[in-house]
Amino acid sequence: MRLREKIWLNVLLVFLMLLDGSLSYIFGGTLHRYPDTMIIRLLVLGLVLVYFFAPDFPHLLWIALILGLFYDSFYTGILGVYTFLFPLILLLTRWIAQFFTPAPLVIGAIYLIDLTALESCVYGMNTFMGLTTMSLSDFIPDILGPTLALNLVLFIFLYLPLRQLILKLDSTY
Amino acid sequence: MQKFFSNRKLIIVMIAIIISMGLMAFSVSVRNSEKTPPLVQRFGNDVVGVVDRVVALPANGVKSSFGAVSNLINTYEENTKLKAQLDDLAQTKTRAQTLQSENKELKKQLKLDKTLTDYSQLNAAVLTRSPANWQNNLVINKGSLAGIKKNMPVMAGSGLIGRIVEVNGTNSKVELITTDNQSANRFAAEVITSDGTANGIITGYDQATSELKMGQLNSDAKIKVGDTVQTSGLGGLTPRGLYIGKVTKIKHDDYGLALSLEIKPAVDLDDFTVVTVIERQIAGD
Repeated sequence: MRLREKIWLNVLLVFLMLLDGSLSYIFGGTLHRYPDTMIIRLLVLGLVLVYFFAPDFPHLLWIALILGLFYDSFYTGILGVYTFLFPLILLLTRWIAQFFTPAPLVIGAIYLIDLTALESCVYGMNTFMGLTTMSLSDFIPDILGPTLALNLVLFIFLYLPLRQLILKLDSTY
Repeated sequence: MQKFFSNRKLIIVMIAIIISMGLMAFSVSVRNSEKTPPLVQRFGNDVVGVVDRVVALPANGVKSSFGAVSNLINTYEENTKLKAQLDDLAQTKTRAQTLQSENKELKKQLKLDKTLTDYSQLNAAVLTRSPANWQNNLVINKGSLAGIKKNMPVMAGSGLIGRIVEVNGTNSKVELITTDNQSANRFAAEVITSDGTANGIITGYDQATSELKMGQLNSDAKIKVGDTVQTSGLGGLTPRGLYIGKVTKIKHDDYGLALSLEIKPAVDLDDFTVVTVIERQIAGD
């Protein structure tokens, strides 16, 4: 019983992870138009919504870590970036969530804070490794801003369907 | 109010940071050397790659059908232009074939087996790309089982687009020539001028103008705008004669010494579905 419930939510998260890459490839010309870069973060949306709407989903932190490891290995080949950051944003979510009652507006705001932290950390790590030479004054308007805007729109459209899906998968026995 | 991190959690996070730094250092060192990633990682990537086909195949189908519609709109205009070029091309092709066979015979007489210009091609389809733009990576659907090796150059259409940076069993990663990565391998290129060739290196990419930059040229060559740039085959696994683009701008530095060029790439570096991996016949270093 419990195993099956776990599997379907996991399948959803893996699917969102792969969708991130495919959508970025399909809309590559639109999303990466100079100077703006928009990064699709459906997996993060999935993780945050699973945290709120499937609270008894076991080992979410570990699953975020494993997904992060696959994400690193499959997409960039640099291990240790998302492996570390996906669990961290879940901890951040948990810490912020205790101050509020989870309404859609609150979850949206938390999601944006998570993304800001995530993108800034990824930028910091890439600078640290010498994989980019972008300056902070370019990063904020060219990447962080458009990424937040895109993901806010995606959040507005996907909040209800994803919530229903997660609730349904969570109650499937 | 609960603290953000209790002591125990703080320690766990510290350890996580250290492990993550270690993993990063390890990955960067693997990436910059000739090694492939460890077996476990390759296996994991293969599994994800196979699962990804479930998502990527329908998605890429949608992409190509949209592409087909937008191509249809431009067809008439393109058709008239292409017709004009076609006659010229037939002549060039015959000439190229004659020269190629003559070249082969001459090589035989000289007892030369393979030279820098000999290469074979492997076709592959693009599976997906990394969502973030920090590493300009594509994942293609062929790997070591199809004979792909690290550092092979990759082309799309008629132009060079990048090189293989990581090989797994059934998929591999391509780093685009547009990367901002400071430790990326650079292509050795040559400009074909009216009086010989000038050697240099592709040093980077200007996103604002979508043009490649070429530097470290031997500056006595008389380079003109419109000259052809191709790979020179010096170093690595790249053969000679892969088309890169055409010169659009020639710049001297403040002292008139170093010369740098801007090159318009032959292909749109953001939009392609099929790539060709180039295997040089002569062994690399």
